[in-house]
Amino acid sequence: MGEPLLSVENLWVQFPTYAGTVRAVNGVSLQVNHGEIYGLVGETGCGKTITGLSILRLVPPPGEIVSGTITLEDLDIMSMDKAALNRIRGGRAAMIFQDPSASLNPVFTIGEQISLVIRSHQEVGRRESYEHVLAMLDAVELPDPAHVARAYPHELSGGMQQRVMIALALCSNPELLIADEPTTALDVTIQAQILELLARLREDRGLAILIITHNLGVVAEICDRVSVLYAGHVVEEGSVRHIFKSMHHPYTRGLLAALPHPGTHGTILPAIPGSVPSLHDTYAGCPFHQRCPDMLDICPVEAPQLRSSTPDRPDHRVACHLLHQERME
Amino acid sequence: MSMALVQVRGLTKVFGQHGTLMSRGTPVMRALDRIDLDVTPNQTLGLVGESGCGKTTLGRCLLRLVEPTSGTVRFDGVDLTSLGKEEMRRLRRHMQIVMQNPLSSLNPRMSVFGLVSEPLRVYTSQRGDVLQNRVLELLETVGLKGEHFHRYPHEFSGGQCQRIAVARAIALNPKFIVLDEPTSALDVSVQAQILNLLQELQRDHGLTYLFISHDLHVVQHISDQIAVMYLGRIVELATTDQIFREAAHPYTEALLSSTPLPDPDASTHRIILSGTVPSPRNPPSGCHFHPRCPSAVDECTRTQPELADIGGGHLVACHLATQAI
Repeated sequence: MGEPLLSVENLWVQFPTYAGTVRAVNGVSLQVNHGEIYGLVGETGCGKTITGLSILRLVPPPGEIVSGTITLEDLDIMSMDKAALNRIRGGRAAMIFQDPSASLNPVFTIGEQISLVIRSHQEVGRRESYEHVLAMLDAVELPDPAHVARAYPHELSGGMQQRVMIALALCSNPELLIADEPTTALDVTIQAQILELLARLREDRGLAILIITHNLGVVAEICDRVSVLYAGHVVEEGSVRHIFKSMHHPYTRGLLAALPHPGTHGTILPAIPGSVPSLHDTYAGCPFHQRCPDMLDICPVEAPQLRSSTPDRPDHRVACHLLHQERME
Repeated sequence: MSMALVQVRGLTKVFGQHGTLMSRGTPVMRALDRIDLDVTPNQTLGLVGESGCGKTTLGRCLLRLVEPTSGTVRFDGVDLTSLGKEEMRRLRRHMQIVMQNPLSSLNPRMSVFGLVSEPLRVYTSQRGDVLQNRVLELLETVGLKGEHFHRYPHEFSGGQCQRIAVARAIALNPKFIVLDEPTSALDVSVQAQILNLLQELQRDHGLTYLFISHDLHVVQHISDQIAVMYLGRIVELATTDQIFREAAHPYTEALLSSTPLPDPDASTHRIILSGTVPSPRNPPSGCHFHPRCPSAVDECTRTQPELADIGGGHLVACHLATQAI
């Protein structure tokens, strides 16, 4: 397998506010390999977007990365200066966001925007870049690239706009694409198209993709490996095939069980009681203990560490005392 | 089958018909096109479709929050479209709506007490202690506590706000509630709580729901019947079972297969539709779905299929499905 493409180690991100420090990300680690689609899944406020932004050091102020290391292959992102960072952003690693209409500039045509990105990473003239623009639009399977290049963002549908965003991200042939909820604003039939496109880009270009999503269906559909986040902590991680077959963390299990699907018709959904703890509070122990159906005496006292679920599955790791205790018995 | 609580016949809504100075020359938008629909008492009718298909407009037309252009809506036998303002106002207490985003549908300057007591203050003579007790009782019913009484919407999470909206909706013991994407803004774990609450209320109070959503899995969970909409038309209408076991319209099939299942081993046979939903201002000829339909034939481009029964009350508007029988 070799070295991972992206490695995030023990990342802590905090936002000092008047109402106290918000602990958005608390010791998240993850590795994304070359050509891999990695999922980062969790509910609102679990820190998944902030983790994604941290990778390109885009955390909005007053938020700051308190500690942690981020390496992209051989590059140490944390020690980079601004100029070096700008070469990486949209260069070797690119990012797309949830709402494409908010990410595109409404007063420039699609062609102008893509051309600008190409010219900022490569030494080409305006006219030469036009060929690139058409090639990029073609690569994301937009019909009639010449027409799209002349269009303004508002003339395109949401799905087409997201394709343009992906084209922008692909301009300088990145190795890593960070996709923050890339299909959340889209209808399901369009979501299926975009997911298919992402899977094909991985096949054709060996692109590694970090998908940030709240949708377990999207994870099951397209990801190879996944980290489940809760209140800024990774609570479970491993291969998608294995995790969906045997979930160990009560939160992951609860999340899947709470999802309506064919077969739950007319039944009562096993909802997770309560809501996510406030990130302002400092709490001892496991972040999930207040909502956990299987809480032990140790859970409110000591935070569980990520450990392998079973000896034969070293890559499937779970942060739960319950699992550890079962094994000791 | 018992009589429908809400009976819709030929409901049509056209926007931009009278044209303003600025919009002259642009084609009108047919948001709803001859909709026929029956909502059975004590049941839930799910209405599913993608953005812009007219599902929200339909929900609002049923309550006359949007005036229909033509067609009739009968509520409990009374034709709403023929009622005057005052008669309509008196009927409104029997029909309520819960909207998608609770933070924008709840007045941020009203406390929980103000919000939940508002319908009671408008329609009943309950005041003072009686009113307070009724509001407390309602809060309890939707899973909120008395201590929440004097708080404001911004102090609550999305799920709690939606509970307040539900408490408002059930305050007058209505018969019928339109639920317009009530859980779309919520996280999965909270969505499950709200869905359970809605089902519990339906059972205890004999409510009838029109449940509007873009999420097929949520709709099937809560609905007895499902209507699938595409560009202002109902393309399939059947029981939840029929839709999931033997969907007959190619659009329904595509919707079902493109909704990702949380199971990596789920069948990978996926129908991926090409293109996007066309503009309702300028819908395609014949069957509105034919440019995206994987199995369209010549006839589809020419004539618009009408809803027809293909057996067991399973209604489909598709030339291919009706030919097959």
